[in-house]
Amino acid sequence: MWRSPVVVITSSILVLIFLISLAAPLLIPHDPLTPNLQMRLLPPAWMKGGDPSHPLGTDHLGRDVLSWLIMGTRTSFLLSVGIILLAAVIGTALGIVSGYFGGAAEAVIMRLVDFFKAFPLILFALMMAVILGQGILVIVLIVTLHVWANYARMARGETLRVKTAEFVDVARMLGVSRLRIMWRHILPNVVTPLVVLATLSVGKCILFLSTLSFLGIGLPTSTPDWGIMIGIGRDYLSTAWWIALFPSAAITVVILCFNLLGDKLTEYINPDLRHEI
Amino acid sequence: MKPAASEKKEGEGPVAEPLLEVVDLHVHFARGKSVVRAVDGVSFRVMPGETVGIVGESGSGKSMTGLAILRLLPPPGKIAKGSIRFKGRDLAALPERDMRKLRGKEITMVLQDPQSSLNPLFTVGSQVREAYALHGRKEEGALRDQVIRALESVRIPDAARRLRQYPHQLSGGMKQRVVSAISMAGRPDLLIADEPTTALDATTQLQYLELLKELKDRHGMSIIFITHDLGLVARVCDRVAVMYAGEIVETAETGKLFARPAHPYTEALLLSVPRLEEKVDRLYSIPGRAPSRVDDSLTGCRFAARCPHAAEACTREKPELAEVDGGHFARCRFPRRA
Repeated sequence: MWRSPVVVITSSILVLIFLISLAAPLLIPHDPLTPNLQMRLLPPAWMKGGDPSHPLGTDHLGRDVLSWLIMGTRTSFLLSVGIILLAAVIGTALGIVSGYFGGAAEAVIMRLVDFFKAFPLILFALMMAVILGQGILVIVLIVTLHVWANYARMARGETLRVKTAEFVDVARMLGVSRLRIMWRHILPNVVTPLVVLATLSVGKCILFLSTLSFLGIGLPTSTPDWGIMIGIGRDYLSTAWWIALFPSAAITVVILCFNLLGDKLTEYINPDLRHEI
Repeated sequence: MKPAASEKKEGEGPVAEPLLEVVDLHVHFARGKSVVRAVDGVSFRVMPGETVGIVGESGSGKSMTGLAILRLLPPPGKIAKGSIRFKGRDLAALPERDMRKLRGKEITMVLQDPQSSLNPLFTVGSQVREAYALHGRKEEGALRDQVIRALESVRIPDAARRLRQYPHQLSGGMKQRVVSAISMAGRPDLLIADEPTTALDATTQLQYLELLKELKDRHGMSIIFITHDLGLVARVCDRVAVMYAGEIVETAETGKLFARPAHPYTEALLLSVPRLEEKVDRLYSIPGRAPSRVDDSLTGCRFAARCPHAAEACTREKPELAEVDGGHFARCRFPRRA
């Protein structure tokens, strides 16, 4: 797997962005939120009228685009990964439980899955925002609730496949507890397609977050998020195009990396190849 | 360590306690309104140190009998009636919690398909270790040593290296031996082997039977050997029960069963086995098919429709298991005595 240039390049980029998101407050040349009206609408440094202290330009309030971009990794990258991880863990756990036990547990969990999958994201988000208001936790709740059901469904399907394998019978025959069977025997055997689903989902999640903040739902507009910056840049598309361009490019790069990586990983799901990794 | 079977018999009085006694076992599968009676009133006993064979064709209920003893019936299977007395306790009535403590420790099972009996994602060593961590004895030394000795005891060469290998790196025969090592972890009193050699080639089969015998002698274990292969039964079992359509139709000491089968079905089974010395143009097969176990309306002997010696009386009343000779029972009105 590590011999593939696609895997190496995309994961390197993603790791780099991850490190940036961790160290963001230390890396920003300026505070992305402080307005500086004297430096407003500056083009990127290499253009006429640009200023080297603002390499990617400034927005209508004079806020540094680069700093905004760097700080934005926290919401657009870190938060997305966190949400997907949360949704994946919850969804996988519920999916395995419903697949292994069947009966009432399965019925209840699958009806919940149907319920949450029935809502389109925007509609659901609007409803939740009206009820719960603004804030990061609201956003996390909205997207997690929207996404977990896919993992549950997939995990259940894979569990049904694995639980008929004879090594599960051997474990039951040995008197291994059901929890341990699910954790040690079922989970590792179902996890691979779920990991691929997760890598592909992060890209979607970034778009979700950007869309929601673009619409003004969830994140307060004073959060340095890529989606919010795109929203601001929309009004200046023909004049100060850099405000919208750079965050868009950043989103594109991240989503591309996750999707290419996830795509490549699907090739390695094939169990015949698995042991050669 | 347990005394070998022979020592046990010397120490005991003339009447020994059976290790396992199954009385009138019924296993039902409910499908909507209808009920499939997979096991329909089976009774037998297993003495300590004895190997009992259960023979029958597919669908005779032999596997379900084995699974019922360990209460591992696939849903919707249930023990509808009967008792399974093991060391003084009725397993059919035992709460699941207590059953789980018994499994792997006092009674274990070896399953049919060695290919999928081991988790493909974990090393052989870690899986054997899991069994010994659960059921091994602490005074027998470090876990790793116990695991290596376990693999050596099932004749796996170069055990220390095999520990780190994955199941797909082992042959079918070796996998089956690893599974045996896993099931021995608790030094069980009773091993239920459900078609353990079906997926193995002939040479490996014999090696495996040798191994089974060795394990049995070493631990003083009883074995219930479930199979459709009469040849294996002849080699391994002290006593045999023949099952047909959910019932036991004959039971006897192995030698007696093969020399003088009493039930026409057993006779027919033995006729079906081609002998190397004979030259035949056509293999003998029993005409007809085993009755479906959902049909409640069947009266009389279940084998009557296919029996070459059936009389009118056979279709009217169902025969009970009757003694035809010392320790030899058959469920037939007109038992054969060759």
